Amino acid sequence: CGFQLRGTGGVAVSEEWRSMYLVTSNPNSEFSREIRARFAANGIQWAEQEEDANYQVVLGPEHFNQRNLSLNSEARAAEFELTMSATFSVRDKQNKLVMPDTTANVLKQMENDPRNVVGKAEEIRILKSEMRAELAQQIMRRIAFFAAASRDG
Amino acid sequence: LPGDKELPIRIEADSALRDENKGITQYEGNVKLDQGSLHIEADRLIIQHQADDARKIEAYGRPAIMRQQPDVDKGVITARGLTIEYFREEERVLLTDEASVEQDGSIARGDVIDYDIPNKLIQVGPKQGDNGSRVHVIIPAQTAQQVQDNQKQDKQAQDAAPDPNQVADPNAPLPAAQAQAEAADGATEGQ
Amino acid sequence: QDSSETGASHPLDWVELHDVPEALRSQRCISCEGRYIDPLADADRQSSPDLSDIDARATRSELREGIAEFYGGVEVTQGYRQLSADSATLDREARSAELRGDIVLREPGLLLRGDLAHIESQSGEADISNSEFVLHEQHMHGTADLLERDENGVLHVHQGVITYCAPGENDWLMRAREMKLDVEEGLGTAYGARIDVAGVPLFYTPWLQFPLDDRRRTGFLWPEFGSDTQGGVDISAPFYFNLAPNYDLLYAPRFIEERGLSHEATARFLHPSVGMWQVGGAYMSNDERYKDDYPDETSHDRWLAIVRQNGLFNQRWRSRVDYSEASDVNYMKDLDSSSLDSRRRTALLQLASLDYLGDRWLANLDVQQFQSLADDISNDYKKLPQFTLSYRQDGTPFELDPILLAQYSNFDSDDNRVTGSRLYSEAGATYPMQWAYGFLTPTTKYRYLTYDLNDHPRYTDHNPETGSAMAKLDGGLFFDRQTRFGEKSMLQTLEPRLFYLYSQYKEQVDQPDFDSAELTFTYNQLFRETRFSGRDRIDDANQLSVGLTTRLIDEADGREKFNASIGQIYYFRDREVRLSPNDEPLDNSGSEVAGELGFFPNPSMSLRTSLVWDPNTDKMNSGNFIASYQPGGGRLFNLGYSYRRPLTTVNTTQPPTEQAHFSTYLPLARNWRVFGAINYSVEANTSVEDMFGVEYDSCCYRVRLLHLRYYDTDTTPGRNPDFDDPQLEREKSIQIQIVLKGMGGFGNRASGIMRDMIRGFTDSEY
Repeated sequence: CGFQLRGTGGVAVSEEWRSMYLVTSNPNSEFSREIRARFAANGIQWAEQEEDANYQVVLGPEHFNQRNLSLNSEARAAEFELTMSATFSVRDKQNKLVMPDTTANVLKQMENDPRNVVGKAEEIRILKSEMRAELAQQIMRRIAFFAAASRDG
Repeated sequence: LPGDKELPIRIEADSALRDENKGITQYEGNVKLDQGSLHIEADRLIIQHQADDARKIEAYGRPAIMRQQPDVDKGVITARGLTIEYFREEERVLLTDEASVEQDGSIARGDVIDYDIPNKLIQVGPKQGDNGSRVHVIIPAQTAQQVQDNQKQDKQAQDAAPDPNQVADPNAPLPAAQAQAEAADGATEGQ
Repeated sequence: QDSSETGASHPLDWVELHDVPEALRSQRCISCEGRYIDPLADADRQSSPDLSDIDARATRSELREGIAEFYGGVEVTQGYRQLSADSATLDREARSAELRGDIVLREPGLLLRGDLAHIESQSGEADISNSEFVLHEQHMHGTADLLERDENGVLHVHQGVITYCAPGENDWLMRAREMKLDVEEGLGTAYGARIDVAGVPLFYTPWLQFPLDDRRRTGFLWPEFGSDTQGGVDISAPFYFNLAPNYDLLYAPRFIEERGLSHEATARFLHPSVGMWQVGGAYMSNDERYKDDYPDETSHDRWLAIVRQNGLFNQRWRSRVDYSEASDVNYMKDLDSSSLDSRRRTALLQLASLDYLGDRWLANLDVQQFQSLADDISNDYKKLPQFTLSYRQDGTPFELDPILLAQYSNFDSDDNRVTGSRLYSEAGATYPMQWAYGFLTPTTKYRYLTYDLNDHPRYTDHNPETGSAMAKLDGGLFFDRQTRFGEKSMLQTLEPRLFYLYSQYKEQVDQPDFDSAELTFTYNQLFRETRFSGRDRIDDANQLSVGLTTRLIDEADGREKFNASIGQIYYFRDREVRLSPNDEPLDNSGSEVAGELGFFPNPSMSLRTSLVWDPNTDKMNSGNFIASYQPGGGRLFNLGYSYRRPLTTVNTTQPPTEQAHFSTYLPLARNWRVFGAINYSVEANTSVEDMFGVEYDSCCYRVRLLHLRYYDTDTTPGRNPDFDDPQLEREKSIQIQIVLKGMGGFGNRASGIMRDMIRGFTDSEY
C-alpha cells in the first residue's frame, strides 16, 4: 500500500539543518536535556556557541497544569487531566525568525485515589517525565518536518 | 566686518553703463562686487550713488548672492534672493523672492527677508498682501560634542546635588521573572 | 489642521471603528467602537530630539542673536518630536522654547495639547497649562490644569482627570490632586484621587497606584461581591500595594455574612539571590457558622497559610517550596470561593525540594507531607526526607549509556502504620540504536530494595530486602508514504513498535507500601517497565507489548493533523507481585487494548480521545473524548466525555464514573457575552456542577455575573451517595465581578471559576 521504510525516500533532516543552538532559560533542566537528547538521537549536532550554529531553537519553559476531569459520587476528583505545553520558535544565523512561535502540548488522563495521595503523587511524577519526553519528541518532529517542507517549498 | 565700509569697492562685470544725471551705474553679465569681507554676485547690479558715495546697491540674479562676515568672531552670513537691495547708510539688506539667509549652518527661507545688520535682526515673512509660501527656518542640532559639554556641565551641577528619587534597582523587575517563575510554579505535585 | 490620513482628524487622534484599518481592529477597539491612532506610531525612535535639527515653519519669523520668534501656524519638528502653536519663541542658547495658543506636542505614543507651553529641547522637560493629553498605547486620555514632563519622561498631572473610556463617554474617570504617569516603568500613581462612575463620585483614596501597561498587576481593585450557600453574602475589597519593582503586597479584608470578617493577604518578593517567594495567608477569628456546625471544636478560628518559592541559582541549583496548611479539614470547602478544583482537594501538599542539576548527575532532596482535608482519610506517609541521586543519560545513539540511581527515603506517619527507612538502587546500562528507518534499544539493570522498619505488629522482619534483574528490548520501525487529505498533500507514517520486558519474580509480601500505587492503564503503560508508581514494589514481568502508531503530517508546514495509536500487552506469566499481600495474582494472558487518537484539522479545532477496552469482559474500562473549537473572536466551545471503571482504587465497589462536559464562551453583540459550563453525570443523569453567566464588556469597564451550582464533598461516614441521591443538596454560588479597565485587575473568583470550568479560557486583564 505504498509504505516505504523512512530514510529510503521519506523525510530526513537536511545537512544544513543539522547544526543547532538551544536558547533556553534553564539549559540544565530535565526538559532542556530531553530536547537535546531527542534532537541528538536524530542526528542534530548541538553547537556550544550561538555563532557556530546555522539555526537557533528558542525554547520557552514547560507549563504543567492539573485539573479535575471527573468527580466520583463523593464529589471528589475521580480522574485528573494533566497538560504540559511549551512554546518554541526557530531563528536562522541572522536571527531572522524562520519558524514562528509554535506551541506543542501533551494531554494525559489518570485515575485518582483520594486515599493514596502519596502513591498518586508518584504517578504524576512518572507521567510528567513521560509527557516531557513526548513534548520533546513532538517538537523534534515539528521542526524536522518543517525543515523538510521549507527545503522543498 | 565693521571696517568694510572704509575699504575700496572692486566690481567686475561683462559690461557697465554710467548714467550721471540719474546718479546710477548699471553692470550686466556675471557681476562680482567685493569690499573687504562683503562679496556680491549677480546677473545685473545697479549702484545708486550721491557724489561718489554708493548709497544703495540693487542686485538681480537667479539668485543673486551676498556674503559678509558681520564680526570677527561670527560666522559668514550668506544671503540669496532673486532681488537683493543693500541700503548702505542704514546697513539694511532687503531680499525678495526665493530669499534665504544662512549662518553657522542655520538657514531661514521665505518670500521677503529684511536684514537689519547693526541690530542683528532678520525678519522673514510673506510679501505684502498675499500669503505666499511660508517661512522655513532650520536650526542645526548641537553637534554631539556640544551635547557632551552641556551634559558635563549639568553632571557637575547634578553631582553637587544628588538626585533624591534615584532608587537603586539591583534586581530584575518582578513581572518578567515572575512570568517565568510562575511557569515552574504551575506544577502541583499532590492533588 | 493636522489632517491624519484616515478621514477628518479628531483632536485626540480618535478614529471611529469604520475608519480603522482592518489590521488595527483589536478586540478592545471593537468594544470601544474606535481607537486612538498615533500618527507617529512608526516614527523612527532612533532620531532622538536632542540630537536632531530644529525644523520650523510659520507665516512670519524674526531671528535675533540667540532668539527666533515665529508667528502664524507655527510647526516645528525635531527628530520624532512635533510641535505646533499659534506663535513660538525659540531660545537657541538655552535650547528652550515657549509656545503660545492652540499648542500640540507630539511624540511617539504621546499627544499633549494646551494653550501655553515651555519646553527644553535638550532634556524634553516641558510644562503645558490647561492641557489635554492622550497616551495612545495606554488607551488613556485626560485633562490637567498644568501638565509637566520631567527629564525622565514622567508626566506630572496637576489637578487632572484621566479615563480609559472613549472620548465623549464618561462611564468612569479618575480625578486627582496630582498624578505621576511613568510610561517607562509602566506605573501611574495618583494622590488625592477620586473615582467617579457615570458622573457620581463613588470612591476616594489619598494614594493609589495603577498600571500603564500589562507588565504589572497593580492598583485599585473594585470590591468583589458574591454569595454562596457556604457562607451567605461574601464581599472582599482588595488593596494592592506595589512597594517596589520586585516586591508587592495584596491585602483583602473579606466580610462573610454567616461567618465573620476574614483578613487575607499575599506578599511576593523576587531577588536573584533568593528566587521568587510568595507568602500568603488568611485569618478569621471566631467563625460563627463553624461554631454552630462544630460546637465542640476547641477553637473556631479559621486560618490558612501558604508559602511558595521557585528559585534557579546559576543554572545549577533549583529550589521549590509549596507549603499550604489549613486550620481545619473544612477550610478549603467553606472558604475557598475562587476555584472549584481547589475546593475539592482532599490533601494539602507540604513540600520543600532542592535539586542539583549537574551535567552527569541529578541530585534531589525532598521533604514532603500532606495535610488531609477529609476526616474520613488519615494523613498519608511523610517523606522526611528523601534523597535521590541519578545518572543523567544523554541518549546518544550507538553508545553505551549507564543507568545508575540510588534513593534513600525515611517515611513517618501520624497513624499507627509501620514507619521506617528504605534504600532503593538501580544499576545497569542501555545501548540505544537509532537509524532513519527505525530504532532498537536493549536495556538491562539490576534493582535492589531494602528497608529498616520500626516495630509494627504486621511487620516482624525489620529488614526485608529484594533484588531483581530486569531486561527489556524496545524496537520500532518508521514507514511513510505520500497521500492526500482533502486537497492537501500529506505524509502518512506507520510506526509499529515492539517492547519485550522480562523482570525476575521475587516475593515481596513482607514489604510495606509507603509511596506506591498501581498505575492507571493507558497506551503509555504498554512501554513502561513497571506497573507501580513509587519504589515499594519491583514488578515481576515476562511480557511483549505490540503497538502501532500512524500520523498524518501536512507537508506544507510540518504540522501533525492526525495521529492514532493502538496496542496491547501479551503476558507470558501471571503477575504475582501486588500492592497488598492478600491480592490475587493477575492471570489474564492479555492486557486490555489501549488506543489514543488526536485530530487537529486546523489550528482552531482539536479532538482527542483515548480508550481502554477489555477483550475478556468485552467492556470499556475507561474512555474519554475532548473536542474544543476556538473559531476566533474570543469564541470557545468544548465538548467532553469521560468514562472510568474504578479498578486500581482501594474500594473498587464504587460505580463507574461517566460524565459529559460542555462549556462555551460566546461573544454576542458588540459588548455582550454569555458563557456557561456543565459537568453532567450520565450514570446518575443529573448535573454534577453547572455554571452560566453573562458579561457586559464595554470600552472601559466590564461587569460579569455568574451563577454556579455544585455538589459539596459529603463525608458523612457509611453513606455512599450517588449523585441521584435525593438528600444530596446542591450548593449555590453567585459572583459579581466589576473590572475598571486600565486600572489593572486580578484573577478573582469569577475568573477563577471560569478558568476552571471553561477549558482554554484565559482572562485578559486589559
